[in-house]
Order: sequence, then C-alpha cells, then structure tokens
Amino acid sequence: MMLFSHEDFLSLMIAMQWFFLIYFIGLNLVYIFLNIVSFFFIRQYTQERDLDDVPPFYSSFSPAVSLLVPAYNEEKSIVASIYSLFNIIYPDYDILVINDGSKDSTLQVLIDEFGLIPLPDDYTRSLQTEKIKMVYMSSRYRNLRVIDKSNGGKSDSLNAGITVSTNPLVCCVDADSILQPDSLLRVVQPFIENPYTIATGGTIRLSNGCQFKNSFMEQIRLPRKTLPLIQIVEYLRAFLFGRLGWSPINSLLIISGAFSVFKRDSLLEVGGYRTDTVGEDMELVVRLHRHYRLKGKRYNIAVIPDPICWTEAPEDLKTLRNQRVRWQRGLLESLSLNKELLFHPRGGFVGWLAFPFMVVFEALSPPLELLGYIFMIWGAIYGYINWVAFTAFMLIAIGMGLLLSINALLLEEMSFHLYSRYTDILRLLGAIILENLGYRQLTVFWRLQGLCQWFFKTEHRWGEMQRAATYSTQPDPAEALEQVRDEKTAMGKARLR
Amino acid sequence: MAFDISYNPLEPGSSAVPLAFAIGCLTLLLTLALFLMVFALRMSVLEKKKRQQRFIEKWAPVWGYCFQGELPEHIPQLSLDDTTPFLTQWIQYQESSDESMRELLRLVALKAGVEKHLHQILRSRSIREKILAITALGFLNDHTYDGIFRHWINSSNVSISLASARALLQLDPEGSMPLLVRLLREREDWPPARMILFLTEAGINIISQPLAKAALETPTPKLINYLSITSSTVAVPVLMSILKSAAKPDVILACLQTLCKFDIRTDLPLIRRFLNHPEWECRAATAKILGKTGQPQDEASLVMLLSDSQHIVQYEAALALFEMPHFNRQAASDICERLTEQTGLRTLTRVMTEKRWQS
Repeated sequence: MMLFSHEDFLSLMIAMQWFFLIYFIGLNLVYIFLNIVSFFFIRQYTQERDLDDVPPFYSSFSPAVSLLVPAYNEEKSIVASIYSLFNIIYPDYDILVINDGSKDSTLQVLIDEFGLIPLPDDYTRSLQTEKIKMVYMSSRYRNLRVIDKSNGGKSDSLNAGITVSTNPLVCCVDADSILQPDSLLRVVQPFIENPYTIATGGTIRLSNGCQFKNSFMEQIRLPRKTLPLIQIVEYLRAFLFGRLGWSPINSLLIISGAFSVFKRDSLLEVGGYRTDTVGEDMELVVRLHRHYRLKGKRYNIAVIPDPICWTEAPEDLKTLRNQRVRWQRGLLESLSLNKELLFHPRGGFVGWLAFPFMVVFEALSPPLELLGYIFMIWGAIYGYINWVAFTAFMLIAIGMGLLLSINALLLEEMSFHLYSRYTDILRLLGAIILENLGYRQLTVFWRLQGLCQWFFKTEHRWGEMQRAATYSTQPDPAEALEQVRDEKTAMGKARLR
Repeated sequence: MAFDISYNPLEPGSSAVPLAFAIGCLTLLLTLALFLMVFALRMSVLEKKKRQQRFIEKWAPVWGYCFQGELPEHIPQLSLDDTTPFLTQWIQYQESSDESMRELLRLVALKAGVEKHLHQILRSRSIREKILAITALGFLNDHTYDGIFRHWINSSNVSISLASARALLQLDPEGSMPLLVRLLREREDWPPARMILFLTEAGINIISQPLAKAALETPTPKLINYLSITSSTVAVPVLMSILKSAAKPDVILACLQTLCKFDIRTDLPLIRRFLNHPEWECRAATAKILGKTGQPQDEASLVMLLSDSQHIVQYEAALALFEMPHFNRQAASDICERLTEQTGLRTLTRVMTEKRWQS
C-alpha cells in the first residue's frame, strides 16, 4: 500500500514551494529593513562625526578602562601586541595581560621586557576562574599589569581579568588585534553619552593585505588572495548593516570578541563569560540582553560604525572551515542557552525580532538553504518546478545577494571609504560576484557541520590559525615606542589643525 | 481574497513567475545603479579632497597669521562652496583657542564675509551644515537668530537641539539658563557629558545658582551630577541638604560622588553616616571623601573598610588612607602589623607597592 498518493505528493511539493518562498521573502524583508535602518544611522553618524572631534570633546569625562588581553603561547607576538596597545590615546586606561598557563616562555618574555614585579594578591574572587598564581605590575610602565594563571581558555582568562580589574569599564581585546590610536575614545563614547550603556563594540575590519610597521597600520590595501577578499565583503555586510541595523533598536546580539567594551559591574552581575561555549562573546551579549530585559532594567548595547580594530582572516580553506563551524556552533549555543528570551513578554525588539531572526534565518538557515538548493534543482529536473520559474527564482536569489553586498559597499563608501583606489572597488565587485558562485554554498555546508556538532554535542577543537600577518613579529621596542610618540604627536597636531 | 495553499506559485502560467522575473531584473538593475553610485561617490570624495587641498593652500597663510596673534592684511572673500570647509576649520580653532585668539578668528570670519552665507547654510537641508551655521553664529555672538534657536532647542534631532543650546548659552547665558534647566530636567537624549562642557563654557557664576536650585527642587541623580561643575560654596550646602533627607541609594550615591570633587570641611558627621551604607558604591565614595578631607579621626574607619566585603571598597579605603596628609609608609606598615584580616592586609600592601613604584 502506498503511503502517499500522487495528489498528496503534488500537494507536498506545492507546500514546500510556498515554504521556501515565504522563507526567502521573510529573510530578504528583514535584510532590507536592516539596510534602511543602517543607512539612516550611518548617514546621521557620519554627519555628526565630522563635527565631533572626539578627543577634545570627551577626554575629561572618559571613565577608566582596563584592557584585558588574554595570551596563550604568544611569546613571539605578545610584546608587539602590548606596544601597539601603548599606542592608544585615552586619558585613563591600564592594560591587563592574562597569561593563560602558556607552555612557552610568554611570561618570561613579559617579565624581561617590562620589568614585572609581583603584587600582593588582594582581589576578591568575584568570578570563578582557574587558579590565579600571581599578579605582576610593570616597573617601567605604570599602566601595565600581568596576571599569571593556570590554563582555562580565553573566557576563563577574561573572567580573571574582570576579577582583578578595578576600573568601571573593561575592554576585551584579542592579542592579535590591531587597534587604531583613537579606538578606545570612540568605543567608549556611547558610555559617556548614554549612562545606561552596558556594552559596546566597534567595527572589525580585515587586515589581510594591509601593511604594518611595528604593530602600526601603515597602509590599507586589499589582499591579493581571493578567499580573504571575499571575506572582506562578508565583513562589510556583517558590520555595516548586519550589526548597525540592530543597534539603533537596541537588539544587537553580537559584539565581536576581538574588541568589545563592557561595564564591569554588569559583567559581574551576570557572572562573566561562560567557559563551556565556543561562542563566548555572543553568548555573553545575549545573556546581558536576557538578564536586563527579564529584570525590566533599562540598558543599552551599542555598536559604532568606525573601523577601529583590525584582525586577520583565514587565508586557507581548512582554517576558514574551522572558523565557520565554530561560529555556527557558538551561535546555536548562545541562542539555546538563552532561549528564555525568545518571545518573552518583556523581550522587546530583541526577544520578538532579533532573537527569532537569529533562530530562523541564521541558526537554522544551513539545512533550510541546502534543502532549498536541492529541492529547486531536483524539482526543476523532474518537472515539478518549471524551468522558467526556476530561472526567475534563481535570478532573484542571486540578484538579492548581489544587491545586499553592493549596498554594504555603498555604505562603506558613504562613510569611511577606506579602500581608496578605483581598482579596489572593481576587485570588491569581483569578490561580490564570486561569493555567490560557490563560496556561499561552501559556507552553508560548513555551517551545517557546526549545527550538527552543536546538536550531537561533539567535542570541539579550535584548530591552528595559519597567520600570514607581518605584524606578529617582534618589533624593536625603542623604534615602536618612538612611533607611538610620533603618532600621538601627530594626533595632537591634527586636533589643533 | 483568501490565501490558496493549493495554488502552485512556480507552475507555468502562474502570475508569480513574471513577477519573480520582474523583481529579479529589478534587483540586478538596482545592483548596477548602486555600483555606479559607489563610483560616483568615490569621484566626489576625490573631488572633495582636491577642493580641500585648494582651500588649505588658500587659507593656511591666514591661519598662520592668527596663530602668531596678528590679523592678516589680506583676507580672501569666502565663496559659498568654501563656506562649509571654512566653518569646519574655524569652529575647530575656536574650540581650541583662548579668548584673544577667538576674537581674532571672529574678525577673520567677519572680514571674509561669512555672515552673508550663514543665512543660506542655516536653511540648508543638511543637518551637518545647519549645525555648523548654528555653532558659528554662537561663536560670532550674532543675535539675529536667537528666536530660531529657542525654537530649535526643542528639536527632536538631538544634534540640532544641542547646537542650539550651546549657541544660546554663548549668546545669552543668563537669559537662557531657565530654559536650559527645564530641558535638562525633561530631555533624556541630551548627553550629560556634552551639556557639562557647554555649561562650563558659560561660566561657573552664571550656572551655579540655577543648577543648584533645580537639583534642590528635583533631586534626581542626573541634576545632582551637574552640581560637580558649579562653585563649591553653592553646591556643597545643596548636596548636604539633599543628603540629609535622601533615602534612594542612587540619589545618595550621586550626592557622595559629586561631593568627592569638592573640598569639604563641614558636615563631616553626616558623611560618616554612609560608611556603613548597604550599597558598596556609597561606602567607596564615602571613603574617597574622607581620604580627601584627611581628618586623623577617620583613619580608624578607613582601616575598618579594608575588611569590607567588596574589593573596590577595600581598594578605595587603602587609596584614601594614602591620601591623608599625615599618612606615610611607616603608618601603613604599622596598620599592616595590626591587621588580622587577610584581604585587607593584601589590599593595603598592594597599594603600598603601587605607590612605591609610581613615585
């Protein structure tokens, strides 16, 4: 006996067509909404930014910030990273390097380079972390401290930094991130303007292809390789409308762990970073939303559009795959651990719009997208979908993909126009086209693997990041410091110009 | 019309297919249009850079004279195109200059004929240009548009309302204070840090009384925080008066944190009451105040706070002890010997180490 009659099967086909159409329309409507919001946000922001020369305006009101820099086996690059952090122009900040039980000589390099002396252990264990063995302070730079602790991972290191810090704001920075001198001034601005701000992030850009000297950005260039070039387009899209679109309605669910600032008290209130997730940065932001929303407390989580932090994108498929699998798994963990926020009566925009969007169009999209591809091709081959309709549908799908990407490029051109040559625009256009022809489908597959890993709770391995950056080499400290002084003088002059 | 699920949207002859084609073509056309816009924007950016370069070359000698404290003999006449870059630079110089230089810059602007373009820029649809014009009129002390600024101060656009507030404070500081104080109470979107800057520019004598009166009438943390920029003779009595009757922790905290910025000699018993306040932030702020006042009798209380349950209170208490004029390393060592509580001991030792290396 047949389970399905032919009519049933046809009905199922039609129902599936409707499902994919509605899904597709829903997804693109939200994207268009985000684009419109971010267009107006960026327009207003750039107009105001021209007038608000941030440093003289805010310097006297800036709250003290602790920069938390977790380091694990970074003996070759840690000194360069710290010198680059001395480059930051901000009235009141200290640097807390957390040596997370490195197996190499990271700690010894730090002791030698910065003349570290042990400090009495005086902090209260406000967050649970692996054992903190010793806190050092530098005898040469009064704003540098180093925490030496047993290995516990990045989140655990950040929690140790939050515990030891005594400043009202903490800024989490990846050791390999390159910051602009005014990064902190800009990212702290929302805290000054809005006292309810509890977290902010900046726009992350990719450093592949850029030229550095002694940990400082010297020239912004596009990478020669296709893979990082396509990722530049992805980052433009993700930051210039993916995040900026959510920020004005206080529904931003992701702040990149590469550079983020939090109110320390808020972090203590929610228990700091979770150590059992691979997407700890996103999970923390979602948890902050959940905590404040459900308690009915007023708060603000913001992102600023300025490109203030540079990080390196994977240049090989293996590293990229690891990254995408990890991101997808992190996304699912972040959402599932905070599912209480979904459609909660007090959830607001975040609970009723951003969270469901993330679930339906980000977390569950890999199987649906893959199923969509299979269904459309199979349906067209076997005649359930007519070829004309298939072509029309593909035209919209590719057209929308191109349109959204080119719009991100337009937003970039409206605001920061970092890639200054005409050839840069043409190369980015090439990447936009290429992205739709294979790359996107490949990432769908990897994201599906991430989803499976989350579902089956497979043990996750981080994998090695193959770095190609030129800045991860040890600089000449004297030269680096000289450059810091030059940059600071130049900025000072620019302000007086 | 009811939604028909049995309708196949992708079958031949379905009206959805031509629609899909049309939308697909439209997205491709839009993509092309946006791409051309990107190119056009890039061209305009490069053109703007060239124009800026020409502007800099033309005006650099003028600014050079001003920096030397002289009024140049020849001042170019401003064209409408050059007015926006001129105002951007001129306002930046105004903000970073002293009074004599400001007057010189004002004369340069007037001789360059900026006034004849300001009216047009003020009516511009660009918010940026509008703000430039409002700010410039404030610096030029031009009262022509006072009425408009009083209207625009209520604008829903926060930038325009802030620029108008600043201009009014420059043009008529005393007269505009009642309006400003009312809006300080009402507007949630005015960043306090920025308003503090504008109010400070207006002058301590002008702002102290109105702000103190407002804080006394409506003792909210926001208004109390503004007292930090008023004169201590006005602010301290008001803060003490609010503290006497305040029950809300955020109000008490705002008072204590504002008091940290002043030198207090009276009403210390009232302050000492907050050493045991249930909110740790209040205890930390109290420690800071007592450290600044430096009364020997408060040393014992601060030593007690070294054993507080909150680390930041311990740390503030240790810092406060080192703030006291009679306190030195020997005194700290004596306390360390007496202290039995381990975290307090470690906090004090840490601050001792920090102070040693910092000196």
